[in-house]
Amino acid sequence: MVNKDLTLLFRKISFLLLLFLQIYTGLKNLQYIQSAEYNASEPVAEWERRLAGLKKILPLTSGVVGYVSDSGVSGINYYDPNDQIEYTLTQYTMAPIIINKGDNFEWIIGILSKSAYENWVRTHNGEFQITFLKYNVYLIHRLTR
Amino acid sequence: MNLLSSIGVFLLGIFTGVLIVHLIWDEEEILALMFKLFLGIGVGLGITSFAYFLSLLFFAGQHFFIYIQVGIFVSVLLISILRGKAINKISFHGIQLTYWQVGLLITVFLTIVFSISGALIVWMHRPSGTWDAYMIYNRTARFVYRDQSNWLQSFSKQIDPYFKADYPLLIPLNIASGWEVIGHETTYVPLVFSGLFIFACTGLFVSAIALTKSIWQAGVGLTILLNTTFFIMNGASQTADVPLSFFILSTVALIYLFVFKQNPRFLILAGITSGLAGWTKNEGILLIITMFVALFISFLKPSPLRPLGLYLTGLIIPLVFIAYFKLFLAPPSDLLSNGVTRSIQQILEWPRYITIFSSYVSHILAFGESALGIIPVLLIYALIFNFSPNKRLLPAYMTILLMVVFQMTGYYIIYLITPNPLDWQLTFSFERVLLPIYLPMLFLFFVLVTDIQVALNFKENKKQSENTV
Repeated sequence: MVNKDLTLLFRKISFLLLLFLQIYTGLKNLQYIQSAEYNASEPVAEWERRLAGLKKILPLTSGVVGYVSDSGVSGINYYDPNDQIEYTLTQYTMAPIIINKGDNFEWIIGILSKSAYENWVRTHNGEFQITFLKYNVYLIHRLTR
Repeated sequence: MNLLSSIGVFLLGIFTGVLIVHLIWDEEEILALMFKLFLGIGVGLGITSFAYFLSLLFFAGQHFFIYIQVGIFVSVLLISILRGKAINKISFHGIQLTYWQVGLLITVFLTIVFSISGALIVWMHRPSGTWDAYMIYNRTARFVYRDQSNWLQSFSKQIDPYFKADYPLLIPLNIASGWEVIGHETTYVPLVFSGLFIFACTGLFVSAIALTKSIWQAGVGLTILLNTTFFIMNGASQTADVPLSFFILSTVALIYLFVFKQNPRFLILAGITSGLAGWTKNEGILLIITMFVALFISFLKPSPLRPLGLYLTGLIIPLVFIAYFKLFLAPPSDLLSNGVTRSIQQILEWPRYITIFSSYVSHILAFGESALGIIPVLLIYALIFNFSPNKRLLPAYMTILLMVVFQMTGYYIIYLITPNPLDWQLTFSFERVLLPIYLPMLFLFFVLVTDIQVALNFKENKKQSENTV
């Protein structure tokens, strides 16, 4: 009987402790989310702004368009994960146009720094019409193969 | 206004889902009604995606999905009324609370407030969701919505396999149909959709435990679930893991209820929800198979034929949609893009086994991103309050455990043959892969561990008067 009462008392104290710990954990978790999200960026809206000019002048509403960025240009060092995010954001923004990495297309979107752009032009033969937009965005039209 | 209309676009589908669940299982006890409400949210959104899929197949570019939705809802409502299954009586008992119960209620309330605040912070900072959301689900939704006449381009083989255009369509089609009904694209639609699944998942978890144990046990479970930071953050990030978790948890809870209440209709519902898991994410297709095998083994005696037959009855319609999509529309998955030979070579590389196994152990131990850690809390809780399994429910426990073991084995094999760098794949996907397994395990934990009401000897004095609405 005494044993049973002691077990019940122990359980009640533990339960009380659990309730306090759960409230404390909830508060700490909220602080964690706050600090994690404080540093998080919302890249989609920024990318929509960046490509707004391009969307206006690209004469396609569907089909496939090429994509070149710094990481695809020889002689240029670029942090790869950022490149993947930018590629993803470009596809998301330009949907339903299909974006494919590479420049073997009539229309190509270039997200290129100045040096990468110069390298790309130097290493590509053929006739191109290139429109430079703001924020390092280029629309490249391949006129001849 | 945008937010309100984004909530409104999902209501017809949700009402339809709740009515369909009620048509299949017509119990009117308050906890059963709550369970059906939460289950109906997921089932309703699943049905909305099927209806939109059919409307795209036959009437792409016509933009009259809202009329189809209203038609479906009115039909289901009429069937409910004609069959006399409208809800006409809700009864509940008044309860006198002890100090312990008041303490638990305060904890539950605060945990809910913290969780809602956490989700709001994520939504405010990232209204378009995280990488997976705009890489896969919202991207597909944009392809469908922006050029509906050519919606099949969403699955073009020319789309880079990296964008996973082969992923099932429950989420993108709900978002695209929401935009169509509202008449424009808004980030609120996917945002509300993610919120609905956090709400439904939590509610289903709580009401399932309340139905089979007590509301107090459910309250303790709720505080642990909502204190799993990863559940809230991931759910608010608009990825598919919480919707998938919802359907896996529903399937598990329904199978448990089948054994608990001996009502075969639960297995039909379980078939529907496992099918909807397969319509949500590729891992859900694995669930359809693993659950089938788990049911077969667990109900081997006296015979697995009847449970499996009922499960397949519910599964058949979602399975037809999945099969049609995978066989005729979806581009090939990138899983075997390295070629069969390379995949076999990877299976023979024993260091991969060790890498995956150590990742399993470390991720499981640290799972949840909670300040206190989930596993240690559960271990201590079990030590103090002990397990008290019910022998009659053994097939249900076994089904859940086997499903989890088979799912984990399936993931192990996928990690072995993945064409992506293994370390990268494990780092960025394993915690998300664990989430849909975590919820059924947490449910199993709280139905196995001694009911807190019994352990603490709560005096539950039911009032004599019964309130009837």
